Amino acid sequence: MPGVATMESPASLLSQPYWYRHLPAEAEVHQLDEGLFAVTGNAAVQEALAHPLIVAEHPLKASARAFGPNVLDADGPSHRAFRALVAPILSAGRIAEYKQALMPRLIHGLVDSLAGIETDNFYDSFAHKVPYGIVCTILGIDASLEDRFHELTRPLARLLDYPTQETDETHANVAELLRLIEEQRAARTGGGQSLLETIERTRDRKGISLTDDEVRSTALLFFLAGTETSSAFITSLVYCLGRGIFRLDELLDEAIRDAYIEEVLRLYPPVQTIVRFASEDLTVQGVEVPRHSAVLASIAGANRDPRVFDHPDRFQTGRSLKGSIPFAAGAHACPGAMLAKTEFSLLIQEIIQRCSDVVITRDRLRMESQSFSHPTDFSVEFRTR
Amino acid sequence: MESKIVSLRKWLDGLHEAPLDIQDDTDLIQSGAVTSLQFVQMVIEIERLHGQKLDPGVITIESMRTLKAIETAVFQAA
Repeated sequence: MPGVATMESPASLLSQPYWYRHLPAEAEVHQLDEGLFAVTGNAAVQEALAHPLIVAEHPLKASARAFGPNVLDADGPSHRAFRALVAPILSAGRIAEYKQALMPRLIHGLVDSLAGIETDNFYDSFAHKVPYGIVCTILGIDASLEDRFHELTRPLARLLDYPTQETDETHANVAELLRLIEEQRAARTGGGQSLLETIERTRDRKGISLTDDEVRSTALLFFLAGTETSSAFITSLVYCLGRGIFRLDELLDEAIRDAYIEEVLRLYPPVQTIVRFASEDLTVQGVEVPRHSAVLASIAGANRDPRVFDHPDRFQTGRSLKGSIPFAAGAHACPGAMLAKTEFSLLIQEIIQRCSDVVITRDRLRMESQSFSHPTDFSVEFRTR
Repeated sequence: MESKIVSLRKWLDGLHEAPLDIQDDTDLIQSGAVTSLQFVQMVIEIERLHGQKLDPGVITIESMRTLKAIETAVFQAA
């Protein structure tokens, strides 16, 4: 039998950060409602994400309805075809190129604007600048449109969140972004190296059957996933820097910096909850899940499972990270993980070269969002050397 | 015995504390009759009322958007 769930309604439960903590800790799989299961234990989450009968595709889910066929909502050969399209843009060689020129320029610009200031809205005012700069360049979007893309994209994130917010604004924003992407593709602003042009070349070379609309939707989802997850996580990184867990100078050591980033990823994975669907009757950790059920996999719960991590809520670099799955697991694991980690490491390096201290000066200890999770309602000061 | 569509209407009503005015052509998502997750859960209820597995081709936004569409695509098509 599944663990007995909570008395709260599923919508009320899922609107809370760390909702998994409200479910019985001894169970890994919980029935929240008829056709609605929560998976919170590390082993169960990994099993669910790798389960061949637990799928991402559901024609009624909000993202599928809003974006049409796309990489996030496909499975099997169709999903592999979508992934093959974006793979060239995320290769080690391309990441090395971004690391040499694109990232340093963007990060330097951001840290220039941060050094010596205190802000009470880091997430909205600063966290997006580097991710949007990188992904706009990769996508072949003119730099002058970055702010417009940010303005249109951020409300869209709610379409992928729980509870989902689906409004006329989100649908209008999808249409406008697809129009802008098509306009940019037609103008060939990326000089042959853009994601859209790479996708089209890969599609044609490999004979992958995708319509132009599917290519645009994939590009838009790539954009959303690449910008909003990183914006959220950069907010978490800066928040942890400001909590004084580490002396900043220690993070000049690349190995220590990498361990620090991994531990922040474990504790603050931007995508905290992933929804999947049972395509047939099946079991997860022995719990029966009927076909058509929604399966909510808690990455946050998996990464703080006391069965896997000692003192799971404690920030502790150097611990074994076996079982930490901040970029999910299975066929849908984030393809941009290496790109993101490179970006995060360079950002920290630049901050500590310019700042003697990063200090949280006000903190309401609040978190926001399930799909683009980040600390909110805090102030942070960047004190210069 | 009440019709399947009446039973489905009752299921939808049961999701809310206050009575809802759901017409045959009410868009279930846009009207807020169901959340995104409840829209997915509704498929299980439809299949239960239908008494047999739904053809995957019938689980589309067009077929599930309104009670009238569900009646036509699922219950009357049986």
